[in-house]
Amino acid sequence: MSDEEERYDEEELARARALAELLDRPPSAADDQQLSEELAAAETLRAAAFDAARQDAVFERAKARVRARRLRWMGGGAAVLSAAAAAVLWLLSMRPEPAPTVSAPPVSASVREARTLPLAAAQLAWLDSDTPETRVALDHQLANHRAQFLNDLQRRYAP
Amino acid sequence: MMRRFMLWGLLLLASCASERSGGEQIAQADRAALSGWIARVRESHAQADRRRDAAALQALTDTATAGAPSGVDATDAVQARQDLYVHAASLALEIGQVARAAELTRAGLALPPYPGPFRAQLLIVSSRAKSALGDAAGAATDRQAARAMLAEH
Repeated sequence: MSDEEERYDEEELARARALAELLDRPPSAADDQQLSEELAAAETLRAAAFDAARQDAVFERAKARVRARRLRWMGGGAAVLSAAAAAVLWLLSMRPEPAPTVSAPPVSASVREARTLPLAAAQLAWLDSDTPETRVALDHQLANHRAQFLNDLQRRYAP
Repeated sequence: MMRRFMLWGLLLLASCASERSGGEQIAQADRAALSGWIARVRESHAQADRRRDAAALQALTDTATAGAPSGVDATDAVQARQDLYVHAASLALEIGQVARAAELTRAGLALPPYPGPFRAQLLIVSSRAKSALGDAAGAATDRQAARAMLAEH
């Protein structure tokens, strides 16, 4: 693991721990402010990170945790709380995948998941309600996913 | 005696050199085939993005049915083909070839059922095609299957 990857991982873990503490406290204006700062920091970290897929994963996870916390205090209930806790635990256990060294290394499950989430959300939105908006969003996410998939094939099989 | 050893040594070196050269040629051939396949998949999608017509539909269908070269992981190959069928079926729907769209989604869903987002999308396009053909029950079944797959993953 490179120094850059280690530093990135440490920063990511520190942020996950900070968010876990926030989730255990009642809501307050100060907490909301801190959550906004965490989100901004995650965005900055995303911009500075070394791997595009991990950038997206970190950013999406941070957004999911903020959404989960808001839902919790709006009466989301125990299911949302446990989902948020699972996301935090998952993030705490996450480690960078080794850099590819052969022509076709496997894509890690976390990267696959990170790429799949926006498309799956758009698909579910379309299934819930077939409108011009959900259809456009679905087409957009499908095009993104396709481009990422093809780039990934190119990187692994014919760099 | 010395001369015989030298002869054996030369033969051994020549043999090693020949094997190495053959291996490199195979690796290069594999790499060329993989690059060619990825380029063809990309171009089929790009052509369909540029021109929403029957020729682009045929290119997508041909690439989907041609399959992937050896050396491509089975899961990658299935996903690439699923996506080609998704794009082809969507295009067929768009240009009014509804029956063809249903046929293409059936072909995509007949591939090994790797439960990724492209398979879910095949079910979604299939439901749209069936709905356009008046098969409301079939469309509902596909939507339910897509929803179940997305919920699981």
